[in-house]
Amino acid sequence: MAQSVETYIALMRFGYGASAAGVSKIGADATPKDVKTFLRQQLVSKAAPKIGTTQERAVAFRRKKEVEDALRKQGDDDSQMMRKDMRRDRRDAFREDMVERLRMAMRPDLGFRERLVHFWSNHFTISVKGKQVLEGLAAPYEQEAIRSQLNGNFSEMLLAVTKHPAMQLYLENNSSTGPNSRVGQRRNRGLNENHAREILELHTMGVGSGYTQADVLALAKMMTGWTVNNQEGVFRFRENTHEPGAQKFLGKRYAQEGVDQAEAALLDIAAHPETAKFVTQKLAKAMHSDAPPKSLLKRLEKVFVETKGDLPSLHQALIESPEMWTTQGLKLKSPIEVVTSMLIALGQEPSAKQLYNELANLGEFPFMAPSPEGWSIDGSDWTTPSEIKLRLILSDKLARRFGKQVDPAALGDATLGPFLSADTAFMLKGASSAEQGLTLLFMAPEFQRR
Amino acid sequence: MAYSISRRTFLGTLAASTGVLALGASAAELKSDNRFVFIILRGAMDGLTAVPPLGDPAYAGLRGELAVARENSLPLNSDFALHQNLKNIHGLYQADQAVVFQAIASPYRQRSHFDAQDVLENGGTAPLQMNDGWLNRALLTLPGVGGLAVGQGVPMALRGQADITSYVPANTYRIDDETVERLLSMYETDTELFTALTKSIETDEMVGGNGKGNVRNAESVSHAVANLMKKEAGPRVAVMEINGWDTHNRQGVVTGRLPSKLAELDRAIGALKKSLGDVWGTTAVLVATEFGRTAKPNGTKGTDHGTGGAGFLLGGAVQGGRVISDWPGLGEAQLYENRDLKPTTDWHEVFKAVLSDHLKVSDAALRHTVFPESEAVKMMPGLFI
Repeated sequence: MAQSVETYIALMRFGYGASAAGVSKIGADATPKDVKTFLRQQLVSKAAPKIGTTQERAVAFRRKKEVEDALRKQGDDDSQMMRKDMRRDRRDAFREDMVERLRMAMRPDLGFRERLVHFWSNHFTISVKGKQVLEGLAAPYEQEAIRSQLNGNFSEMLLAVTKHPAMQLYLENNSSTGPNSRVGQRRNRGLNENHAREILELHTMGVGSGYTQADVLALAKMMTGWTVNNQEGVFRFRENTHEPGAQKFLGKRYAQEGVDQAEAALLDIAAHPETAKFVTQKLAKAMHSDAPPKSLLKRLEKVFVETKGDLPSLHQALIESPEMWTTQGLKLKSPIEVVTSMLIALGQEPSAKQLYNELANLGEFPFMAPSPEGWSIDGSDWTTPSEIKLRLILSDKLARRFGKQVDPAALGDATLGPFLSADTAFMLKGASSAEQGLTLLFMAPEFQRR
Repeated sequence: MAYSISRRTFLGTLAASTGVLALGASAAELKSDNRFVFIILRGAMDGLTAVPPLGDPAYAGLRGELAVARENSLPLNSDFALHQNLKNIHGLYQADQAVVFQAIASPYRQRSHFDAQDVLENGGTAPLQMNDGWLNRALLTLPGVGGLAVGQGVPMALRGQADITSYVPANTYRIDDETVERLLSMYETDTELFTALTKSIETDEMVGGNGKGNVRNAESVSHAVANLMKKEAGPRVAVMEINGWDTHNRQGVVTGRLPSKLAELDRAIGALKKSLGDVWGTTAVLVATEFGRTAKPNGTKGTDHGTGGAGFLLGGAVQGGRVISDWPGLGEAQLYENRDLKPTTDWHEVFKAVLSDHLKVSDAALRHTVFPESEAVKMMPGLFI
């Protein structure tokens, strides 16, 4: 039975992929209005991943690290082996967290919300590369600073992210010291402006939006003292490292004491018109296409400005935007997206090892981006020759494993619905084997795009 | 059945489109026909094993059982030698086609692999300071010079606005011709996917061997890269990586982990030279690692993260036969933070020379866009013929 275009758009473009199960979740006779309701309901879902909190994870990490350090000092073969095992366990636990994350994204009734969660956590990227403690903190970070903040204001999310131990550790503001603070005067320590710069350049106003190096320095100074209580794994303000005195930032004087100073500055830049523009453009680009239409850009920016950064309003504006409901496949899926779609189509859940190997091979694993810019949201960055070759190899591999169990033409219908082109349908029907059919389905333009 | 579809069908399919064949270079625009390969040794190569400073009286004592003995080395000059597994590099040195750097480092002074690799590749002075790579920023000023990333991803050095292409050998690649042909016909209305798949097929054809090969085998990767780069329509600049240099335990002196990594690097260099053929004469290969390792061995017969390290500039375009080192010495008082070889040369001096003298990047671009954070660092003169 033919399903409505809206049902498929909701599952494929707003969510991570369609399947017969997903379609029946929305309902066989759903109207376009019902479909929008289905998406809106996701925004208020309380569903959370089954993971520990940042505090639990940080405390456990510290305890294990002490054992590891002791083992390192012992230096004998057995100790080294045990140390290696501990490191491997930590890495495996991180990968398990990412399977749990995938599980949620695969659920048709959470796909849209999870796409938004992933968008924001990539916008506020942390990366476990080079920082072992973050392996345990990545998933709780996403839960506490992103997923739990999805129904609040952008400024609240910005504060939650900026204070979160994972971000403090990733961008190393935790060790930034005011030169004129008590500690700065006593010891040879200084400013680390990295976090302040990334807030302006990547998290809020965007590069080239009018702030200067002096503004970066001023924000960095205001943020000194923002650090992590390593014993408990929580944010802590440390007066001893905080740069005293008022700062001039973006033409305004901030004379607040302590933690209030940088908070006031962050609230101001969260409400800055350049932030509204930068952030909504990026959201449109991620959700719609590499070059979203002006009408969509303008609407999202307007909603952000008028609601002072109310995220539910912004997310609902996406649902209400006619540009999102076009029948054209718009954007090339990133590796995480395309693999999630394949797994939804097959109804398979990978092991942590499989998920890591395949995604790392395609070049995108969550929380392992090479820079604070996060993974590229530009579809065209994922159309390199190597990438296409590797996607073809993966499709072929999955086809060899699961091809026998599926009818590619029927699966094409179920996963692409009205988006299945006549050409592709013809190819799937005429495939010389079920394996070839499944490879062609996974590599079809309408499967690779959304 | 091999992946490679028959030449006839392939060209037939391509006839439907134009301009997708060129991987990058278009000779008419080029300021220079020179080739450049950047090999990144990830994990930190132990420079005191690769390039033992046999002339330093403190070397043997400091290194203890990790010291390379004269009989296990190949002589460079009175002060330095090469590990005996670097035979090809030694041959190049004797033919005046190799410069050996010792006590060299990027501006980074901490000891995190990831941050150090980031600095080595982003071309700035601090980790996460820039979101693109120095080689990409340079390519942006060199229209027609194609950049090639070898592997599944694009290394930071090549990330950025300039368009680059990529190639990944894969030994599991056994997609049959018919599937590929059908896929190409499905892509006829999708230019982006069609171009990517076509380029991939074409690259594999240029490489030969149907694009099979092991991405972890530096020698086979090097043959592939060379086969691509020597073609008129091939890329002029490539970045490849060799992983596995983080030798904290039992790194070995004559045999073992590190000596086999050195042999692997050396085979890769041999493969590049052999497969590039005549083009070797206009090629420069730069071998760098994120930092050196501790001067003293650790408690597990290995070395920990250090600072100053070694590197190589090789190729027919190079004014070689020299060791470039302002040797700081290995005496207790001469070490950096009492533990590492002190760096006395900045990689940026070499990077700038490669870009300026070899690839003909303008001085203005070097100053303003490629290395805006290290204007004070002068490029090293006389590295190229």
